[in-house]
Amino acid sequence: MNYHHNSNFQNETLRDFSREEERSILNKGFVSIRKEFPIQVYPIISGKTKKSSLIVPTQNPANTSEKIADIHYASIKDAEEATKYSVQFFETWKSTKPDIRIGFLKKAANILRSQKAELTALISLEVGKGIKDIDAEIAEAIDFCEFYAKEAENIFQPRKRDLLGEENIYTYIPRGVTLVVAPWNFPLAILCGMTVAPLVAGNPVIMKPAEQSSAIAFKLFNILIEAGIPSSALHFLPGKGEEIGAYLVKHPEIHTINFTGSRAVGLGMIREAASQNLKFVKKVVAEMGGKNALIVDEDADLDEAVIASIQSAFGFQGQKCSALSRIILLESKYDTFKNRFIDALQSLKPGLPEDPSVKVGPVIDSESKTRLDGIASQFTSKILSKLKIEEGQKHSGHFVEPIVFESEDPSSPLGQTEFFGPYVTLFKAKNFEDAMKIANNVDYALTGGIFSRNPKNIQYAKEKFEVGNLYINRGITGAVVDRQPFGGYKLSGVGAKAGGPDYLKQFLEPISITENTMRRGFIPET
Amino acid sequence: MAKPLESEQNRMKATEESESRIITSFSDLQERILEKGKELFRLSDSFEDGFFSTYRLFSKSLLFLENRPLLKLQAFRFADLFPSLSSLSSISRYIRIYFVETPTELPKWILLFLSVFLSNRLSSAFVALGAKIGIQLTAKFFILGRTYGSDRKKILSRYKNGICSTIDILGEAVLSEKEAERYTSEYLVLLEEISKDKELFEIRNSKFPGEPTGNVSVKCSSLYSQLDPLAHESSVTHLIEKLRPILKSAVSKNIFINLDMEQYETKDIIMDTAFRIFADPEFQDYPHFGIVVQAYLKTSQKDLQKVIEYSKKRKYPLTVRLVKGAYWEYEMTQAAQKGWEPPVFLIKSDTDRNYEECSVLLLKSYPHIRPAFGSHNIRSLSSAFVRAAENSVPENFFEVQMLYGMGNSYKQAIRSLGISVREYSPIGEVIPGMAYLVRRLLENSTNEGFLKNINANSKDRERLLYLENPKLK
Repeated sequence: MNYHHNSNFQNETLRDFSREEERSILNKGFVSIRKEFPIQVYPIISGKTKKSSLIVPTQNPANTSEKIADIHYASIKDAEEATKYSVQFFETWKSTKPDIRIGFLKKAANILRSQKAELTALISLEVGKGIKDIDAEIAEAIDFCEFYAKEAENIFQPRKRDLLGEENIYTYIPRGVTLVVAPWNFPLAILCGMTVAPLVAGNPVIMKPAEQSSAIAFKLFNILIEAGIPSSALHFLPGKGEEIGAYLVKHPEIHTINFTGSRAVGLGMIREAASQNLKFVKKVVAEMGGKNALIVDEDADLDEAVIASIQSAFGFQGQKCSALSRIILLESKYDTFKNRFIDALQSLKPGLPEDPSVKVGPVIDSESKTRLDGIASQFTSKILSKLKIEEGQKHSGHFVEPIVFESEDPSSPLGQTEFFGPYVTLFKAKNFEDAMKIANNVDYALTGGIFSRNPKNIQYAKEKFEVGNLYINRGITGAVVDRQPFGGYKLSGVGAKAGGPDYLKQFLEPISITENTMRRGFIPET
Repeated sequence: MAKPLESEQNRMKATEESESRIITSFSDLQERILEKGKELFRLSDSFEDGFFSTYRLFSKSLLFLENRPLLKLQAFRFADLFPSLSSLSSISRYIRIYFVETPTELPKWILLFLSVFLSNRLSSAFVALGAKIGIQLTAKFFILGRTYGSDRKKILSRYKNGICSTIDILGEAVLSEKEAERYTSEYLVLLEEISKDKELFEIRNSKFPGEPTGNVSVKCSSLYSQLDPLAHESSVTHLIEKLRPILKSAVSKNIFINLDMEQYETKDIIMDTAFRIFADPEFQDYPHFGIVVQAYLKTSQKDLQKVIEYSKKRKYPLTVRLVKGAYWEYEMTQAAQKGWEPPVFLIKSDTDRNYEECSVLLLKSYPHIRPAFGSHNIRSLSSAFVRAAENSVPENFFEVQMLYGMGNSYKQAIRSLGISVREYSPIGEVIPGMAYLVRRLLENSTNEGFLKNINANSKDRERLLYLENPKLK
């Protein structure tokens, strides 16, 4: 049997919301989390809560009159202190037995599991994500803990190649202090994966969560501490990216930067890291963006293709790096697809994401809304269909109307620029090869998909589609840890796939130790 | 000392006796079911060359796929793909891809014939046309016709031959409210057409005096595009509003309405919808409503109890169509991908056994529920008949439902026992109806019982009358 084909890793199960019991637990979660509002979020360094001179409130993006949290922003001084303590603790954390570190991750997974309802409610209220997406996200966070724990068990078994008179060991040591700069769109899962991987590998971590989702980040931080991670190994610094983020990126004691976010910021970090004159090469792991395409072949099952496109393009208002933003259709399918797709969009219900019948929620903040509205007015002539959202709703939250554009020019911004919102553009292709050319002609290589029942085209896509995650005859979002390790290349990112077999190694340095065991006259028995 | 020992012995003896009584009555029951099955086989043989025999031809040709697993897989994939092929040239291209370039167990001479014909544009068009006609003909075995209006003659001729029908509307998945509205209006038109059919009225009046004007099976997912188990409450409320005009029209025309079951995840939505809308003052005293229980679901007995309790409170009993369920593969993949315990029984014989247990529950609830046994499995039906007699449920109180186009001689055989038979008769476009066809094909070739019942020789088919018990193996 080949064990590479099937790991014994078990993914966290999703909640079955057809069960009345699950739905009622969920409702209780909303009631109980609201009692904590506004959540006070502080910087915490080596277990000490820091005072801040800048307190920024966060609101429910779907209803800005509801205050979620007060975020006490960390200062440069806090950042400096966090780095100092991290460096001091590095040797201790490095020499802690891997089993102990692994145990902390498993404990964290259990705590996350026990708090699903409250976490769901908080994510829904702080970033405006839909409940099923949140359920998948929490499962992913749990999977990251369990998966990296399991990976660490394997990695920290030294690889031995012993000969007569010579012992060879190949093993790994942690790199050093790791800065984690995380996005708001998967406020729990991405931050969790990015943090627990360097930690279990033996690196102290400084968490710099996104400003917009600091309350969820704070919950996660507390869960990790509760799980046993020493307070000197993990520090929490909510605050402005441009300030403390930028400061820490340049800091000479930070060895690894683990970043997920925009392409501009990511490339800036890489440039910064490369230009530093240190005694080591600062490493940047960056997951940046995508302009993801789905090709619908002439023989596609439209029932499936339309539903998958709706979910991939408009799920969480398109605010996923894996979201679908270009649909490339073969001519013969164009009109049928277009009509069914537009009608399907028009049937989605906008509103508060905590309402389970709502399919379209708000975007994250007013900045995002202004930017997206700008794009919409720039391409008014290309708008094919728009889901109307009532004025009242628009005033009470950061709502943006989901749009289907139509374009004949794949090189225009509609075909090239990542919008990070509920916008998708339809393109027409003459044949499958042409469709693939259009799909690949972008700076990114993150996710992509095809709907086809032609085995030749499926094979062609497997060989030619320039994406990190290819999906065939299904939606293009929702990668599952271990089953679908996630990440892209080209300008979509640099580094190993999250939830995959190479991820942990990015926070480690491999070393090879050879010992000549031959002494004059004898070889010790092995 | 002696006394307790004696009493112990007595007790042991008593247990042995009662155990052996259970065993005799169990084996006696099995014996009667076996006899009933044999009787049905004998009767069906006498109808074999009767008025519907085209199916036999079809099922014989389907036998060609037996023991050719690769070919069968490709054939089903092709049938699934077919509705998307818009031209003869694309049909012939895909025949090449699916059957010539993909290795199957097609005999060499057919392969040679295909590759020769597909190499030339004109002859390849012939192959494509042949395939198209073949598939359409096959589909016509199972799909009544495009609309009731255009194909009502088939329904009428079956009524004349003693077989009633319940009509359902086939189609694509409903992705938007616009599409849902189209289905709603199709149901309304269907009800209208049925009620205006004078000929049907006359046949029905002379042959089926108790029967309502018509019988329609409604697929709830085609009426509302946003059914979602997470949004249970809003799904139920919306569905009720979507169903209301259809039920209103049916009540005014005295037409039976059955709410069909689909995937497991929508089961509770449909059940709650049924419970709520059937209790509406407008509908609470209407005698012609029905719902479905799927015996492949582990929850089916519990659900059935709920339906029974509910029906007891009604003035007229609900009809429960007891089926095994048609989404087994779907439920299994869904469960695997989400990490859930499958909602369905994993072994076919467990479903069969559960079907019999559900049948007993239904019959024991007499007269609060009208059972409709939806199955082609002769063992399952025989067991229901034997148990109906055991529970003194009159034969005109329950019925058997089978699919249009399948098992006609069995339908006649059951009719001759004095039990009503109703056909589940789909109407709709043949091409988009293909998904239904693929399911029927799958059923016909994988259902342990049915195709084998039909095609097996008499010794083999008697073997199918035993309820397999894996524990005894």
